Amino acid sequence: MARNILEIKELYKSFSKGKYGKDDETYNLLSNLNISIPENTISALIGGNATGKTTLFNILSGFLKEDSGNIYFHNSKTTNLSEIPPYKREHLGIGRLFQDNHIFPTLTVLENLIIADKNVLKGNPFEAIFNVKRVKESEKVLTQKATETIAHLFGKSHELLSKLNDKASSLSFGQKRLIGLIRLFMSDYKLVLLDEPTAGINPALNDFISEIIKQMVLENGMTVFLIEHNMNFVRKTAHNCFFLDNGKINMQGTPSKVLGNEFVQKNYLGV
Amino acid sequence: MLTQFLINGFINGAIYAMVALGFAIVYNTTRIFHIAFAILYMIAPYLVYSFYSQAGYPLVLSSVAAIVCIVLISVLIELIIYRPLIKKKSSLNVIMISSIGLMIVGINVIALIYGNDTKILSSSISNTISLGNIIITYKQFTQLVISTLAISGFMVFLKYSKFGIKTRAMRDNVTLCNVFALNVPKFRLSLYALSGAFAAIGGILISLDVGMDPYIGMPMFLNAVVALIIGGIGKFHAPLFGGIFIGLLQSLVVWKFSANWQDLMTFSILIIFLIFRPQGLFGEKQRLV
Repeated sequence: MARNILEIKELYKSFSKGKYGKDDETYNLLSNLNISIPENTISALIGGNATGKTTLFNILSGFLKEDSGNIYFHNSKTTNLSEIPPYKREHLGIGRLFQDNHIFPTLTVLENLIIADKNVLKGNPFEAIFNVKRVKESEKVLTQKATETIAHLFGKSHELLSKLNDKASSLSFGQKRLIGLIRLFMSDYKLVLLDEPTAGINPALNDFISEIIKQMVLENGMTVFLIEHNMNFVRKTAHNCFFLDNGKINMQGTPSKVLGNEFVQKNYLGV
Repeated sequence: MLTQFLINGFINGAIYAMVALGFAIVYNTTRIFHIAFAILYMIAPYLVYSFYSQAGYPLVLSSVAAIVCIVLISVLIELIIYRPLIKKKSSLNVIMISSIGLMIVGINVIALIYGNDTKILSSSISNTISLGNIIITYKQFTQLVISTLAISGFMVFLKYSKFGIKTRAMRDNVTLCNVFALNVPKFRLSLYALSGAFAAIGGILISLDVGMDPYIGMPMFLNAVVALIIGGIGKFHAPLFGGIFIGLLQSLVVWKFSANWQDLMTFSILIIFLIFRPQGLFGEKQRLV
């Protein structure tokens, strides 16, 4: 049995009801939430609108602070994520794909990809002046890595390969989403959080994205935790499924078990 | 005569461009309307005045020391004023008001220490370089060379260095920067340091020529903001063209009319741009979806 890479224990998150709400006018969006994500699997989090799915991902990424509870990330060592700032979570091996915030628009497509490489944002900023040779070599290696990653995922004739030096703002929404996904292959992530990877994407691409996500797990050893509203996609892609309702996990198991549950069908799928 | 005015305008424009770039470094990456930037520009020449005219150190050493001090002050503004407000989730308007307050305090402190009268760094008449009918003073030459070096150095840095990628990434999407392991609070300090250095160099270069008083910051700040808007907000190269444009325009106004009309023309051009080309000279249409 696979060990858990992520364990969320008794997590609470509340928000104020109104703009000028007092402490006693809060509501619990997440209430005693417990989730364990097994390593090297694809786990889907489903649930209605405003049930706190993206809030949970924002807590996992460090953009929101939980009210109480613990989040343990088990990699080479166990880390309690509560006190870890967002940028350090990337160092731990946690990657994120946002629902609609994928790119740096004025950076080129290539720069958008290589920015995920740890060496780009670390190191001596004056290298560009004092060590031009090393900068050029590093650029060459990263360009090759980006090109190979695109070719491996989409084939050697994919249109993105001819757009590496274009500004990312010139890409369509779907292409930007693909850039967000490809970028997750540019670093050695252990756990990736994908917020609705198929949202706004041509349905014909769904199978393709499903394959990319499976590749993340099978070839790259990542663990995928995703939010998704496309149930066919969840059935095809995920190993585990968690149904979030009323601030806690109401049902969990295989996608067919959870999606076949009468309560889930009635309250979420509207069947 | 026209050529002489154009050359003078270009040199002034280069300084406007450099100062505008200093403001743009902070504004484009943090969206903070950093009005306190004006006092960094104003305090730098006073520090040179203290080190050089009062303490007797060499001018170059005094200037370097002043730039270092301004860099520290700029970083402290972020650490002591802006960062705590950001932590409290204050709006950008609140931060701007705090910046205005700081500017007022800064002006009054300098006025209290040095007085309201104009101070000059050097009363000697500058040597000149003659190129046909065109005369450039050594001070102007220094202004042109240093501002050009500072601007081009930053542009090379922006395009080719890791620092440049980080800066451009910060300009585009701070949230994503966090996801890609950029320590945003720490990186912001380096941006404030760089911005402060540009303000200090600009202030010192201008004061070599015309001296200083506690109120020199705001007019230059407004010119820098106009240069930024005319060039195109959000672009790092845009204030360069905006700055040169304003420098040349002001010089032509002085040539044709009088120096008193410079500001009127500058802000008239700003209004024309805001009505007819609000995205600025280098703004571009972007694909939204």
